[in-house]
Amino acid sequence: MNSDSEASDSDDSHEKFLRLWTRHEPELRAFVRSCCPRAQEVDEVMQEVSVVAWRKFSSLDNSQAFGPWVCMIARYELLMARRRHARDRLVLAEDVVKLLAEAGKEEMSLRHRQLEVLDDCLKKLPRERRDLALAAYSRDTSIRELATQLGRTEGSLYQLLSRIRMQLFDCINRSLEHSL
Amino acid sequence: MKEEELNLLHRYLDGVISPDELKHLEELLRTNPEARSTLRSLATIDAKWQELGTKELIKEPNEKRVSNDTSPELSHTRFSWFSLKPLAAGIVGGVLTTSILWALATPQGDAFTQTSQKIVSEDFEDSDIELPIHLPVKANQWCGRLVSVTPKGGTSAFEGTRVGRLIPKAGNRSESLSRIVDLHDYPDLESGYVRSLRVKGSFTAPFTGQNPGFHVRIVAFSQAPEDVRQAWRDRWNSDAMILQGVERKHLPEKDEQGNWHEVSASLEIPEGTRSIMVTLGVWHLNPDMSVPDLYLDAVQVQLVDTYKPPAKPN
Repeated sequence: MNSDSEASDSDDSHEKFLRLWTRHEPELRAFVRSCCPRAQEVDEVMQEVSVVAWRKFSSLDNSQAFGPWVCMIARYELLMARRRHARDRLVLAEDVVKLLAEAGKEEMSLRHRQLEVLDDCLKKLPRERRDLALAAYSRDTSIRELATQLGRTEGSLYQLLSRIRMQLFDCINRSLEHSL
Repeated sequence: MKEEELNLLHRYLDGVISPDELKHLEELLRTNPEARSTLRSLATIDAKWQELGTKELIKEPNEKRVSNDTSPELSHTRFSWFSLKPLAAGIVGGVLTTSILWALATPQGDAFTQTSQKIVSEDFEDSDIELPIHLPVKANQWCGRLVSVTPKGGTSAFEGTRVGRLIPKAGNRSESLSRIVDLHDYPDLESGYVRSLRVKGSFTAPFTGQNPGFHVRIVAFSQAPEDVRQAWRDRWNSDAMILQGVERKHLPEKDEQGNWHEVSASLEIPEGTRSIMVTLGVWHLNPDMSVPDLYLDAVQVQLVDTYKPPAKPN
């Protein structure tokens, strides 16, 4: 094979990877989030997963299996991240991470459906609740700062966020039941 | 699930769970499949919020930028997956040294004069060197898993008597040394000049029997040094964080692995740059193998100002 055709193969492979990664990234991120106690660590793990997945991509024979395959990589990277952070912060025990990751891998299609209906559920939220949740997850505002701005205690703000989360959780479950 | 059990899940996701509560949560997750399933569903909501929160944050500055065509920020670009394309092409095509440039084109012209200023010269001769291992959060400090050692295995230091030894953490496929240059520490650029940052370092992996690659990376940020780490971590999710970046990778031939390899890179500093992160490191192409020990020596960082004459009228 000459270098032109090799480069062309590489371009095709890259595009294929991009398409698959883009398609599966939201549910993969959700999967990773369940095993990371801090939202900030999700980005770190996702970055590692993307790099390893790209490096190993040529070994994947069936692109239909990309979801479970990349989940296996994420499981490994989650365990590595857990070991990195175990000394200086609270992390879930390794056996629990494995339990969560194992079942999470089987639930990728459920994650996909949940994310689809979540968009509609978010639209149904009262605007002030949606804005509050977005503000809480914005990177330039800490919960403490947001609580001060709103004249609330941090505790009451966390409670409010929990209620919004449960409201969305119930909405997702209802929507999925109706769609069956 | 009971209310207090749900509260444990929320406190975990909010990052405010206490050590005692975490133990309760772990036991709950071990024994209760519904709790595990609920956590995964709540985490899905959280991941979505996080994604939307990031998008909301970057929307406003983007809109402002589009409204002003003359803004220098229009030349900003971001790291993207497409940056892997030339790397893959370089390796597959058998090119052993390849560089990746993430940027819009920078002007090229006849250069008449240059002045250079060596701003970092590091030979790792200090045997007590102790570095923070995380990405730097302030300027003028090396960060990475590196110690100063006397080289072994018949290898001599490239300069002086000692070298820096990068010690990859078990299981890591790459390891690097990083430093931030704060352009506020240096005089402003004179009119008619363009400024570049040049970095070079010498690498060897003398007794591993493996096949490591070496790289030098230079990345320009608009942020102050203390904000660079976060901007770097956010590079996959937001734009306008990274102005420009260049990476030069070098993969030695197998029979040359024990030699010193000088790897260098240069970046013309884009307008609006405040901080530049310089990284020198090693990676392994086989992700199943850990990165070998690596010697690094004679690292130099230079600021080079080049006079570019105005274009001649036709």
